[in-house]
Amino acid sequence: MLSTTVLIIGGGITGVGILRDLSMRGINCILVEQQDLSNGASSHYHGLLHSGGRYAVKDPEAAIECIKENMILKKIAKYCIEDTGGYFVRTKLDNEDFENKWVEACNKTNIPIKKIEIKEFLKKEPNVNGDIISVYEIPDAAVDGFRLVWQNVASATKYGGKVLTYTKVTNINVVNGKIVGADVINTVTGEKGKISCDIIINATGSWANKITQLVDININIQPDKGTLVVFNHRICNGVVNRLRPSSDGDIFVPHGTVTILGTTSKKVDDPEDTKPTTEEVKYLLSIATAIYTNIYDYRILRAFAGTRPLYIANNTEAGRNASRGFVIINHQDHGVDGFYSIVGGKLTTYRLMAEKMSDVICERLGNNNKCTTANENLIEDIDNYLIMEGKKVFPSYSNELAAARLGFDGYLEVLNTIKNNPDKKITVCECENVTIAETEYVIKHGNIYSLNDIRRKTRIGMGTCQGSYCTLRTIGVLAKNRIIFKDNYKDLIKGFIKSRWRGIRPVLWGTAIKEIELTRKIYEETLNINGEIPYEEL
Amino acid sequence: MEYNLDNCLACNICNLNCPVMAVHPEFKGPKLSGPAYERFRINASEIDENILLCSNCKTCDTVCPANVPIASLNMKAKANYYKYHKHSLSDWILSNGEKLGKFASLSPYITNFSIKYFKKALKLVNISNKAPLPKYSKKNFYQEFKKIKQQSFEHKVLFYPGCFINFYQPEVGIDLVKLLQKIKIEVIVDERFICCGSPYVSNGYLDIAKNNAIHNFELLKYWIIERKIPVLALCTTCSLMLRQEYQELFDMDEIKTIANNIYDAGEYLLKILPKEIDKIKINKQKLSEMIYHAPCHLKVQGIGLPFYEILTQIIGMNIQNADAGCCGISGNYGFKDENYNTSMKVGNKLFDKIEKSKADVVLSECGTCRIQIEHGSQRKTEHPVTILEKLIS
Amino acid sequence: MKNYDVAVIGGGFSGLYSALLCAEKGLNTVVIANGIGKILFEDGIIDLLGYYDNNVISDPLGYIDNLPKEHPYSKINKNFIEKALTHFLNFTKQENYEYVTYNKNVWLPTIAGTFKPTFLIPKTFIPDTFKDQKEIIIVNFKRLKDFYPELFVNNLMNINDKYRNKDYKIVNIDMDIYFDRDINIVDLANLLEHTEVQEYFAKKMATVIPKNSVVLLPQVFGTNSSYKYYDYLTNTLQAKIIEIIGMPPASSGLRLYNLINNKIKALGVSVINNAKVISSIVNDNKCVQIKTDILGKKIEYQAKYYILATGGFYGGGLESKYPGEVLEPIFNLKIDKPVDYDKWTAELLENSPQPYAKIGVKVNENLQPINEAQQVLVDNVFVAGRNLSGFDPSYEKSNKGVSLASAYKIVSLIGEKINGI
Repeated sequence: MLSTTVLIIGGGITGVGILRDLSMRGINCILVEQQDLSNGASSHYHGLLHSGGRYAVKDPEAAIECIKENMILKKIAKYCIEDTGGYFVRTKLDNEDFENKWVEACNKTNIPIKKIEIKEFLKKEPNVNGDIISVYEIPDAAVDGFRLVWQNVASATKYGGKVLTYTKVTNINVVNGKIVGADVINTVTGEKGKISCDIIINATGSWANKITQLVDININIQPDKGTLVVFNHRICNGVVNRLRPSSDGDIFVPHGTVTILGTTSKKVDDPEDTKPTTEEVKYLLSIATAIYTNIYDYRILRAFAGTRPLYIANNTEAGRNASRGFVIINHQDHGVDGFYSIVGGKLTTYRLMAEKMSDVICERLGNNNKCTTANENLIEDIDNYLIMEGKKVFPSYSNELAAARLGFDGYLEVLNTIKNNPDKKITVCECENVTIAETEYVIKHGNIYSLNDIRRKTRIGMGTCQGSYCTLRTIGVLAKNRIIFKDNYKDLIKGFIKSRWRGIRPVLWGTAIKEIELTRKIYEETLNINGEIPYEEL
Repeated sequence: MEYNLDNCLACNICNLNCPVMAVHPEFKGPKLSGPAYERFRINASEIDENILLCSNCKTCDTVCPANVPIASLNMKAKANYYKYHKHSLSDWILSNGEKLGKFASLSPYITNFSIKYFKKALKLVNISNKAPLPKYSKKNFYQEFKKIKQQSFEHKVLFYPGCFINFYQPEVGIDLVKLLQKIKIEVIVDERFICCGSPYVSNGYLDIAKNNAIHNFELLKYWIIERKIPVLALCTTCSLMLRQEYQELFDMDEIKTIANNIYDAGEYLLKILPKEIDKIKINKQKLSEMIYHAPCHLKVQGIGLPFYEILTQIIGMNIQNADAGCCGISGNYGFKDENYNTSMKVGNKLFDKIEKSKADVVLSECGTCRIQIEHGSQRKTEHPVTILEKLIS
Repeated sequence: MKNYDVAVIGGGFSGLYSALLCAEKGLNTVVIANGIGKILFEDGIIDLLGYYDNNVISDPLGYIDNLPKEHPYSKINKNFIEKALTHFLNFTKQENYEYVTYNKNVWLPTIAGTFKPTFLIPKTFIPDTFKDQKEIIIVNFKRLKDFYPELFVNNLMNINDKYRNKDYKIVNIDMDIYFDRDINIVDLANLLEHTEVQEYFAKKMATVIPKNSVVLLPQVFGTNSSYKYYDYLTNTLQAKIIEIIGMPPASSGLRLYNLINNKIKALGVSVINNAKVISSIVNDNKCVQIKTDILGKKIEYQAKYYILATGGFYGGGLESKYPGEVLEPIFNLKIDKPVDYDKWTAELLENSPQPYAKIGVKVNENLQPINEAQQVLVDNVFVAGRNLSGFDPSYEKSNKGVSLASAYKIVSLIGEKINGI
């Protein structure tokens, strides 16, 4: 039985943001997440750190929040962000009036935009070949959702915050209309437990209604599915936005070694309905041709989808609107004291959302500490001297990427491991340049229950070959270190390859067919990983 | 978009066939150096020096089942490397073969003498003093060509000698002229052509190579489109460069329209000889036992082994094909001090095979292959055109 | 223009083996290859048929009659399949690299701790003694990538009591090889082509391998098709040594490639590398010319017969640039697409074939391309290997079997047509 002051349900960016803020203010809190962290929208989106440009016309308040938070995050979360810069591009198909409206709106909301010559734009973005009428530079950036979540946790942990993954809330305990705790179950081991607390914050995104229903409260969360496409290499150097009223398929985001194009919008019933379809992919590509006419020439690695939680406020809802972007609901109004839901919002403004939520909690608890999350970096800066050391031992081009992934402590440990044992420099994933040392570090530091958990932390399996080689290599490393999971190694291999297949199935044309043939050649034809064996014969 | 990095399936077949990777314990190999690292280099601020180990032999391109232009990706990366690092003096010397050749032409004896006796000085500029640097010829090809009185024929070709034949072995070029005259073809030369640029490419001077390409392209267009005269090269690196690499490296797509009229001399002869075969007399004489080595830069052109085919299939000679991979020199890669040992290790398989064969003479279309083979196997070498010229009367 | 008896389009296993058969019949043959296929990627073993319709097959030749008529084996006919296998065995024997068969599927251990069914194997893979031996020694090498003995042992032990109760001993050999990059199994195999390295390895093995042991190790016995060193080591150590199926690319594949490639060159077959055939000219149902185009350089080839061995989707023999579209780009042959695009895929690794994998060129019993009305589209073109429709080699474990058998039948037919040979 665990005991704390605040129980946060939901390990997405909102939840961990709140965990960090409250922990920094000295409040005891535990966060529980039913799967691995950033399982929902936080990792299933295009990875855009908004400048606010997309909201300037329709929602100026949200735009102002975005640009402010954009600047803050670029400072405190610099290892999660690639400051690629971005553009808004109007094509021949887009309305001229909107451009004027948009420029005005950006100026009003203090979003720094700069019109540039098309010639200059094409020099920076040589792959663009559509009919472009005008281009504006804007401070968009690319952010790694996984990393942002984990680095918030790293910071929170320093201040005493605790995280329990694969821990699902099965029951919320209310006594005399007040929160007293929750029942939980470990979804891997099946072990049951209890957490006693005074306050519960429901930060579960698309699942928010499932949690409130545990105490018979309904909130109008409409999961909305968005499908995105991952291209094999960086098609653009900066974020490329369509200059038109925000719509589908508007955004190309360069992300490390890949490019993400998104997104679509479809109302679904189940927040876990995240199956991308070929129709959605074709739709995205048809829109993209306005900017890249030969979009079908670019190799697609996979498609993926996430559900974003759209909150539809009830007119009788007495929720406190901190901003039109997100809503904090105090369920005291529904008869449960100490229970709050925070819904809506966007990843770019997570810190602000967490600040507002934490202010509410601190006021309630009589804690006078102010929010300091904007003033302190998520993780310690990594010494340049260390980076230089790392350059000597990490595989080509992987040094700084590994540093950003691992953070100071992790990087130092992995660096020393490789120095002392050069065998650990061997790459497990050649497409994304991940070493055995890093893989072992990630495995050692817990919360790993599947290969996907390793993948999210290291990018293993997310590159060109989509797990063809690294699946077996990673399992080999696990076996060598005698690490046992619930599933046996064969099933782990199968599980990982199958999860990669999920994203490849909807994009099975071009080079994707060749790549899956190669994958099947390894795991089916050569290793016969799933074939029945006539053991009588052996 | 036909040849691009997206095509890579990570099958590793290039790695299994890379001659440098097979002997060098540090080289990361074509798969990583090319398409895999390119995904990181698009965004990188620095280029790993490991790329300098790629010799640009293009064996990886030849075996890749997915049309990934691996060697060109590597050469582009090499050029980017020099954006952050200074070139060595050897880079400059080995790239500017043409400039130095013109200088040396003024007094070839002194130049050769200097190179021979100041080998120690070579080390100072990073050029290996063991590598077989070629000797400058007394007169270059263009000078020798002027002395020839050709018969004029309606059938004409433009001969592009390339720097190696021009400055080191002009007699090979003369052999082609003599041969073509025998089959009633007139040879034209155009001294406005300059170095194809290949030495610049392998040493990371892509911008200079591109200027050469643009210059040569205008002349190619003139001869092929305006004058309707095909262009022939005897050196397989030159024909590769003019016809293929100008497209792969510099995106000069317009070359595609004239590519069909740029020939390896053997390829051209293979096209016309069968038709002339009745009119030709073959001078079956006793020639030494020979073995043939296909230059890497010929294999990647996808035109087979034309000179070898002419000699064995049309003339009917019994010449073994060494078929033993790369000789190791790869242009001027093997002349550099740091690459000499690698280059000799790479060529070892070939030298062994030549040793074991009973051949006295080794045939190969590439000039630097010839000097490497002479150095590594102690056998005499010839361009196949020289043999063909002897056989046809 | 170059004129041949047979032009083989494609330099993978189907293409090279076709060329070998043609050359043996004295036919003037050219191989026009874009790359060198996937033969280096696969192990040098001949899979015939391991699974079909959820059945685990022990007697593949016996099962052939159960196959539907769409399957290439049904079209090829058991007779030719048997002859093809015999030919392969004779060929390897004649080259002093004889393969072994048990006339039924043999199950080879893989590094993933599983077993894979196959039909013809090189001597170095014979697993007989592994089954019943209690003590198993697994040899690993220091600093070697892609060999996981712990995984191997762990998964084997999950199989049943017999495997759980074996005594597994993992031995690490240090060959004192230090690369500044990852060392792969094929790197080791290449090194073990040198006498000094062979002697060193033998010495090291002698210190850790007792007499009469059963030893499993990665495919390190060289990259050339020779058993000399393997026999020497086996005799010196008096142990039974077995190479394991591992992560591709495989040394045994490289050995098979070298074997066939060297032979066809010795027999005078012209091999044109890095040449992609992009079009053909067909007059009156007869192909009169094929054309390669390398960045604008166009070369034509003319032959009496053409063998299309371009490797399916993987090799570029079938193209699909847009969802659902499938083209055979050289002759524009009719494609057998068993299902619509939305049904192309099934769950992966669930013991069933993938519908998209069965897509291929529609052919008759003679492996000539036909249209829906069963009319032959091009008289003198034959389709070999992965291009054929109606089979999923990754599921069935029938890859090289189909290549071998189709190559054999095609060249038999061509031989008959040319002077009844």
